[in-house]
Amino acid sequence: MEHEYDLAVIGGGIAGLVAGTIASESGLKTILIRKGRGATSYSSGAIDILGNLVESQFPLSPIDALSTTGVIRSTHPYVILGISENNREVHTELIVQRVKDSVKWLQRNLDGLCAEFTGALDQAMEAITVLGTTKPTCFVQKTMDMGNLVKDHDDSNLLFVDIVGHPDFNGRLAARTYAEFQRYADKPVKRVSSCSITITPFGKPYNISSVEVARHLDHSGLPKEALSELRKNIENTGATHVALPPVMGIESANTVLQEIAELGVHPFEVLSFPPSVPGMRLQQSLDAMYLESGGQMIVGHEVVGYDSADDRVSRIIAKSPHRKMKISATSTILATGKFIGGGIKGTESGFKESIFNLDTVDLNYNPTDDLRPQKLTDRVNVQYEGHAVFSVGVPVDRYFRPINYDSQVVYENVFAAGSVLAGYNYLVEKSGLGVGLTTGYTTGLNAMKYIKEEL
Amino acid sequence: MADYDVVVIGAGSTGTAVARDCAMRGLRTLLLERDDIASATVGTCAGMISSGLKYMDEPEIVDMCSDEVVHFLRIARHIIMKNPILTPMLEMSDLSSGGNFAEEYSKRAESRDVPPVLFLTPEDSREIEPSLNPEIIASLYFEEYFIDPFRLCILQALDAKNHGADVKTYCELVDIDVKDGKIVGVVYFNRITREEKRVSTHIVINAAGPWASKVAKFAEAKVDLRLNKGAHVILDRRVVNVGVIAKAVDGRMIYLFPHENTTLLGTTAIDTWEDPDTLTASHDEIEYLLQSMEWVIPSIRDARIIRTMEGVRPLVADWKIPEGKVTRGYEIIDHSSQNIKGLISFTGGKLVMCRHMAEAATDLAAEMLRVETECKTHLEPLPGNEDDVDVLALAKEFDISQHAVERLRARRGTETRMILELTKDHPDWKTTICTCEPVIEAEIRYSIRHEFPQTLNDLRRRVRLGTGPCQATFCTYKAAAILADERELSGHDFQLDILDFLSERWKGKRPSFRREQIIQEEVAQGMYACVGNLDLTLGSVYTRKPWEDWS
Ligand SMILES: Cc1cc2nc3c(=O)[nH]c(=O)nc-3n(C[C@H](O)[C@H](O)[C@H](O)COP(=O)(O)OP(=O)(O)OC[C@H]3O[C@@H](n4cnc5c(N)ncnc54)[C@H](O)[C@@H]3O)c2cc1C
Ligand SMILES: Cc1cc2nc3c(=O)[nH]c(=O)nc-3n(C[C@H](O)[C@H](O)[C@H](O)COP(=O)(O)OP(=O)(O)OC[C@H]3O[C@@H](n4cnc5c(N)ncnc54)[C@H](O)[C@@H]3O)c2cc1C
Repeated sequence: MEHEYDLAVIGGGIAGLVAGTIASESGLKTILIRKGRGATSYSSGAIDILGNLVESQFPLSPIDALSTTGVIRSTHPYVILGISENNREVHTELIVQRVKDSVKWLQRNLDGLCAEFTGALDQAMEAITVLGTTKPTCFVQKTMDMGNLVKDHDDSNLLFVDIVGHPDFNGRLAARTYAEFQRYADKPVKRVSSCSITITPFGKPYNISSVEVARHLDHSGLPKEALSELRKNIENTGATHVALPPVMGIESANTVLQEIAELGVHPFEVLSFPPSVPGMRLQQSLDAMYLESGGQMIVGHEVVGYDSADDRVSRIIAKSPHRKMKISATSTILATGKFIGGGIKGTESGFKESIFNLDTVDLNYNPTDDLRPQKLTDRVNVQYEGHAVFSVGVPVDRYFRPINYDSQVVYENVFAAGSVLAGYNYLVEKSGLGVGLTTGYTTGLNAMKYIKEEL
Repeated sequence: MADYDVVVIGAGSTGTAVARDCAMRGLRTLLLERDDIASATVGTCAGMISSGLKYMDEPEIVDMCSDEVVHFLRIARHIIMKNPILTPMLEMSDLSSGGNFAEEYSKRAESRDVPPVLFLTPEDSREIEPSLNPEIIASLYFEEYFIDPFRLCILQALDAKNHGADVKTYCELVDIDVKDGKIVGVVYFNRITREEKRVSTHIVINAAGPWASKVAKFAEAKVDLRLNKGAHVILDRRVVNVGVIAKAVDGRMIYLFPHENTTLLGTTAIDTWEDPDTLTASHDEIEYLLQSMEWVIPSIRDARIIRTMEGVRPLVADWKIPEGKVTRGYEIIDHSSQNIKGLISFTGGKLVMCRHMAEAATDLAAEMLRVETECKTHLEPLPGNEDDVDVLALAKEFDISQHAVERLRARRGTETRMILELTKDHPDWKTTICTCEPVIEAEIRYSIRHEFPQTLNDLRRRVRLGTGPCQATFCTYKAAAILADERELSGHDFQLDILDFLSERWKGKRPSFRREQIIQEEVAQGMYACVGNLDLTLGSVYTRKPWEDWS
């Protein structure tokens, strides 16, 4: 079967879905092909912009961090956003403007969906995680909004709540950890405590999984016993805020939280580890957004090959266990993610991009095609600079088109977005979904220009 | 009167066996271990007991090992598995050496309850193990026993305790007091309380494995060792049905053994002068093993490597011969010959011989103490081996998967029921914490209460936490919360425990970092760095481990 499109997007994480939506909402005939789940569905419920500029010695607001990257990093995807059309120089205002535009756009598009989010670019947010630690981020899903827990409140009293037999969140330890952090806070939360409630999707109080609880709550709401356990504990502790496991429903978390709020507290979910219900919400909302824009989506298909002519990719070939498809498109966006998504592979003999066999580079655009992955790791597992291996990806020109080691554009109609890109380490920078969003947004626009022959 | 009759240094297979023997014979015994039980060499070994393929030239040692297998089957049957093994042959010359082995092995087969060696045609061999290279000309079939080295050491230590010994982990020997050519005491440093303590003793038994020379030096005595390092590569599941032994690129024998839920590929043998604490497997060792095994199992590289491990064999100091020619036997040094009375050291030996080594050293100690004793370590069962366990019935009674109960039984024997009983008061403790293995919360709590683990890594040795394909990605923080809960640790220590375990797992993952391992690590970093933010919160207080230091 042969199919013809204006734009083919390979990959259905945040980068691909945003790019696809932009294109299809402005009338391009768009198809998105994805083989499965990527990092987007693992994410915690927070949308990081740039939480920690590794080179900076002190914390910055996302906007300040963005402005600073332009000065110290020439290969960061955010910096590429800031290259001006006119003089090809990096303008920090342009970086900030592009980020603002794409955030605003996404906020509008997710409005009313389960991954609706809140936050502000000029304020760093310290969101509480399942460990009870806090992480510097920028936006969180509405159900994770901590309200006035640390701001504008003199007597915050936080109650951590966990579910018996649900091992993914231990409220007692989270409370202990968070309470210790409060010692260093300017305006500490006055009291931190914890309790457990019972929610048993299958009638047994053990081996309870996050997704099962969420589905159960979607289906039957918060059980009465759980609500009364909560009420009792809120009364006993005098809690003003309640930190919940991030499992309060996929579709209906807002409703469940409202019910809890009626007990006179401000409830919110903590950031999740995978398997992540907030990650599922995000994935589901982005899917809905894309489909709403009129784009076509093919799931369970892996792009395994392509045809090219005259420096252009003319066709891509996708395969499922049952069939093979040939898709011709005027332009293609590569949004296949990094290692989790499958966009980049690392073997004993080096790294390569998995579909077009594109050249790969590291943080500073040094070649990595024949580097053994181990060489890009540090001896210490969890540390400030992170592992260089996670900044490996494809290098791009100012329009986000992959380039080779000679800095030549490989295919004039192929653009790359999201974590398949090189030049940044989202794990330590805390910038994953932010880069995915903004580069998806920008490559969507660039591909459109290319198709209209305006690039 | 001295505080102790005997102080044993090192809680590897040798030291725990010695402590058990001494305690069972009524000697007042202290076992000192600077780290955890089974934290060094023994924890990096394959756990194969007996064999003989490698030391056919030393029939007295083959005899001894054969007897030891019989003893182990009596005292520790619950932690032993029998594995069939194929030795495929690609050339005619392989056949003749095989014949020799078959004869020696078969002589001792009956007493060990295994069949004599069989010669199999290529077709029959491939029926048993389809992944064998079709070009083999024949293979040998035989059976070997494998013991869980961690559980063995822990059970020996617990049994020593049950017989009155003091067992102190995280206590490092830092000096030996010698007066008039006689041992009178030792000084140890407690790494948890950061305190030093001096105790008096008549005898010190130095079972410090590769550190035996260092320990002897505290008494100004001398132990010569030939240190030889060896690496294993661990694959994510049972990639072969049976064990496979084959010739490596340099003609040595290497093996591929299904082990628990994984497969072990090993081992290398390289003389070493490095500090054993800093060693990790090298790229050369990994490729040596893969290329060697590829000749008989051509698909070996398709398997996913989940980690590597590196250990140091404390061999008898036979020099100027290849490592393979060094005796696999052990020697006991009575340092009286160096004018130090009361100090006994080991060189050489193997896991399979640990009980035998202990008996010999304890005999010597008893003689020095002039007491009449009788060794019973080969007769009395280790904890958990008292009776059979009905896995099916327990699974039904407690509503836990059969698989989980069977894995529990393989570590615990008769303790299985005791652990499951805990879930009567705490049904939520039936929750699976490590899904790869699997391990349920009740076993973790039980272990924390009764088996003195200090860290998650210590828990791994006791319950196999985090040893499967995900290499602790998903269980670390869950188990850390349980440990912190039981021990009432601070949030700070809870986070440090997480980092500590991740770091220990990384030690083995990093040398073979490639392919799916990179994906797995992106998830782990996503959790603990990107979301958990431990890279920012703890970076500055974390102390580097020996193998993480550049100096
Ligand atoms: C555990 C974890 C937690 C995280 N938490 C956060 C967080 O809290 N905040 C934050 O901002 N970021 C977070 N991140 C980072 C963030 O999730 C990623 O950076 C981001 O989702 C990357 O998006 P992407 O669209 O580039 O790739 P992905 O989401 O990985 O999507 C790639 C897509 O490409 C598809 N694909 C790949 N190859 C092919 C092919 N050949 N054919 C067809 N389809 C293909 C995949 O199936 C997948 O759909 C986290 C990451 C992890 C691992
Ligand atoms: C790769 C490899 C594979 C092997 N495979 C097998 C096999 O399949 N079958 C077999 O039978 N044998 C095998 N062996 C050999 C076997 O593992 C060892 O011979 C045996 O386990 C050594 O045990 P040990 O107790 O003497 O030493 P160790 O396990 O090293 O114990 C010594 C202990 O002393 C402690 N210590 C050191 N200094 C001090 C101090 N100052 N104070 C307190 N404590 C101290 C250490 O922390 C350590 O725990 C293998 C060895 C290797 C390296």
